[in-house]
Amino acid sequence: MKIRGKKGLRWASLVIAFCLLAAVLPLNACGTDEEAQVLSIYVAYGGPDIIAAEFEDATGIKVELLTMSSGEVLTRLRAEKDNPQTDVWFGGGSDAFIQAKSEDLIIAYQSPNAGNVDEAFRDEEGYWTGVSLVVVGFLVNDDRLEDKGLVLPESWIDLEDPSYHDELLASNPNTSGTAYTTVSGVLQIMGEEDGWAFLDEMYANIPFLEKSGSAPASKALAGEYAIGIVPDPHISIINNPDAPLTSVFPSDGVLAWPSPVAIVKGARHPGNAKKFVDWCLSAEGQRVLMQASPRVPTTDVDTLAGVPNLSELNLVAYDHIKWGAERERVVAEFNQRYPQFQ
Amino acid sequence: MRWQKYLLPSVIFLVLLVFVVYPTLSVLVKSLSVGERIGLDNYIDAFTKPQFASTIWGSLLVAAGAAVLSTVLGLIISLTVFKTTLPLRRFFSVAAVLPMIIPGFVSTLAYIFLFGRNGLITYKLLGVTWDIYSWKSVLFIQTLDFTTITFLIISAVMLGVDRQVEDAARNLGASEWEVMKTVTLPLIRPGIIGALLLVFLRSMADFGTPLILGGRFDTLASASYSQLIGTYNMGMASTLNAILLLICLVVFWFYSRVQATGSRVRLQVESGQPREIDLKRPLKATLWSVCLLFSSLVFMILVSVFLASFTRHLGADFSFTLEHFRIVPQRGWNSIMNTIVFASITSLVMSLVGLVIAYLVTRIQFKGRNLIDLLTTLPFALPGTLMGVGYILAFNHAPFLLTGTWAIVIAVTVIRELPLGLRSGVSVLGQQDRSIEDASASLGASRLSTFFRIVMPLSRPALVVSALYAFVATVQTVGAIIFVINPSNKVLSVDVFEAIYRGDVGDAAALSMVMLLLAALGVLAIFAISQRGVAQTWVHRVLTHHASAQ
Repeated sequence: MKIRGKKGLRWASLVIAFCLLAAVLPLNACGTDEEAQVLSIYVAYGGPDIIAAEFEDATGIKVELLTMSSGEVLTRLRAEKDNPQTDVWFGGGSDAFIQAKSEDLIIAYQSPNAGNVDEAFRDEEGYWTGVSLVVVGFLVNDDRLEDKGLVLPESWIDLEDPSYHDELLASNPNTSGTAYTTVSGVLQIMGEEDGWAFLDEMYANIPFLEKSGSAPASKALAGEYAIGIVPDPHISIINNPDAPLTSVFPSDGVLAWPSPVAIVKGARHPGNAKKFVDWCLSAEGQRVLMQASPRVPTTDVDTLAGVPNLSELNLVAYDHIKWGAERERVVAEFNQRYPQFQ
Repeated sequence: MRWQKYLLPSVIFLVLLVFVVYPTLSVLVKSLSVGERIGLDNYIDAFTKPQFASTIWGSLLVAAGAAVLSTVLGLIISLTVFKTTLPLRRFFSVAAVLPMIIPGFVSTLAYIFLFGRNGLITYKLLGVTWDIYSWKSVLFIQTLDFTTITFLIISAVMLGVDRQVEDAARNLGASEWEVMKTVTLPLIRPGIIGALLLVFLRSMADFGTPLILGGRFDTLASASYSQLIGTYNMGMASTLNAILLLICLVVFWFYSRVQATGSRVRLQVESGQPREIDLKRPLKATLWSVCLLFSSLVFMILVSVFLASFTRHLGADFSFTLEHFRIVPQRGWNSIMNTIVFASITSLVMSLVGLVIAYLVTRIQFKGRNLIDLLTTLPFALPGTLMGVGYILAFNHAPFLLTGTWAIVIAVTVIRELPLGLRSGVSVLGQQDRSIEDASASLGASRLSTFFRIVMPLSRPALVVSALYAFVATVQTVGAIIFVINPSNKVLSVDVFEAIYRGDVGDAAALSMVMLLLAALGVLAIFAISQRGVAQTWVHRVLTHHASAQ
């Protein structure tokens, strides 16, 4: 056996040096001038893959997605404030975007296509622009409702009926935009005092709160619970045409909020991010978004079958600016009233 | 030259300082800071606010319950498989190892489908509505999941018991039951206690199961996850993790003491058939029924996940579909590739670095040897959420700006698996004849070439087995990794976890099938290797030192 002493040592140090170099190089590669054809997006929106694929087809920009709830995006953006990891925040509740604007996490961008969107559904300074509306309603599992001998609820106030005890599921306003809009929207419809009194009754019927807004829909679909308070109940029905489901848009006031797009402060690909915002608000982009997630659109495009028309809904003029500003107070009150859900 | 001797230990020490100590300290510092000042406010909140105080007791009770139940199950299955001649023994042992490829958070999918409020068995078959979203479900799934660990540990110890001792007792006139009670059980006691403590640790660290199945019930780990991801209360997330850390360290201290005394018992791995114990019929029947129940549950869960991946929506719409597998190449491709790359790098680095550190601490005399050993082993006791929060706090700003790079993901996974690499390295070196190394040295070879040309080739079987094990564990891990993932370096396990969390049953099941396949390949490779002589010993050693996979 030939033994290499010093030579082996030198060889080994060379290998180690190369490894270290290889490990360090990609970290420095970020600082190049030319913007690479990639775009990183934090998504809280349905059908993100379709959107990514179509955007890539249209612009040649490769999209990297990470899906999460809007609360989670906000958490991430705060944590990454000094070292932003993403370019665009797409989807979620406008309340979280209002919060992000106040914390200086997103930047203003007036897209030339923003004019297509009603002023009520976008930030006046252009920090965020609504690409579609999320409508809060009830998703009811007919089979389970019948099994349990319950009546179809038609309005918010119906939900305080104790017969729904343990058959009603909702999400947590600490983590879900749907839930926060439900709480604050009810306060707007009924007034603070009556609103909280009603919520006391309603939450007494709910065994626990899901962290994500869409989870109650999936549990109602699976027949785990009879009724879920969910965003866009009609979408569950479109996606599962054979399931025994009914969507209810409460007669005493339908709550909705714009689902915006915004550019993250410190984005590494600001040019691509702008292209994405423009594309989302263009006729073509709106068509793709409708395909990806059949929501009520904020611009004037044709809706798919099964998507409710704005004019059929008793839409409440939900004051998202006011409730966005009061988020902390309302959530604190909620946590104090319902400590069992923490 | 003295400095040269300290070069490698210093480098390793620095790496451990940065990737183990610094993140942990960051969490402790964060938990103690209130705005700009230092204070115990977070801790006071944690112990007095009902929603947090209850999680501390809840986690302790569920962890203790899971530890006891899965140890009893592991003992029963080991006894049945190795100490009786009852039928279906092979089936039972396969079922007991199977949860290794089904992480707990995947089992929850099938569990809800089978036993949920609208479950196939509970509601459709038996017509009962029960409160599935509670601590009971968490306990159930954890017990099922962790029985693999207890089975592997207890059966290894049981097989290691010297048969002559048992025979001696028999010759002295002891009945089979007395042999069992006075000889076998006391000899395997270190294994049993070790299994108890290990499951306790794992249960404390598991945040996925309580998050999905707990309903109102929260554990320290799941509450810290919600505090961070949901409300971005970094202070409270850190505090809950600090409390969790304290509990885990205490348990880990006991665990390492048990390990130390346990290894003093002379164990031998037997190749022959262990002798049957002649138990009374009713006892045998009970043991066998428990094994059958357990094994059926495990297989039912596996089959349900399989079916879910081809069903439009399990529980609602049972029509056949390949739709979910469409998203696998579409959305999952990157994650699959990342998973394979990360898991491969992790297993390679972990087994090599593990051996190097093992070589240092067993063969070379230098100050701080024990400290390096301790720091390398420590991550074994660190809960995943703690490491996740720590890595966010520590590597999000200079001087170690690593957030968003693949390097941080590798760092997390390697550090998580390093204790296993070190342990298997230490035990392989303990078996090696040092005179070969001395011969190499006296023939003029440097330490380095002795290491590369003598130590490494001799350790290969052990290295391969622990590397494969680390591969399987990394494929399934969500714990710490979920906090450091960003859009460009997603992995399969996190995709699956998020899909389950969202309630996309079909997508989650389809993605888990791919994950199960990867893990199964790793496990099969381990078993294939273990058929070959020496490696068999190492399979047992490595598996019984089951590192925290989540």
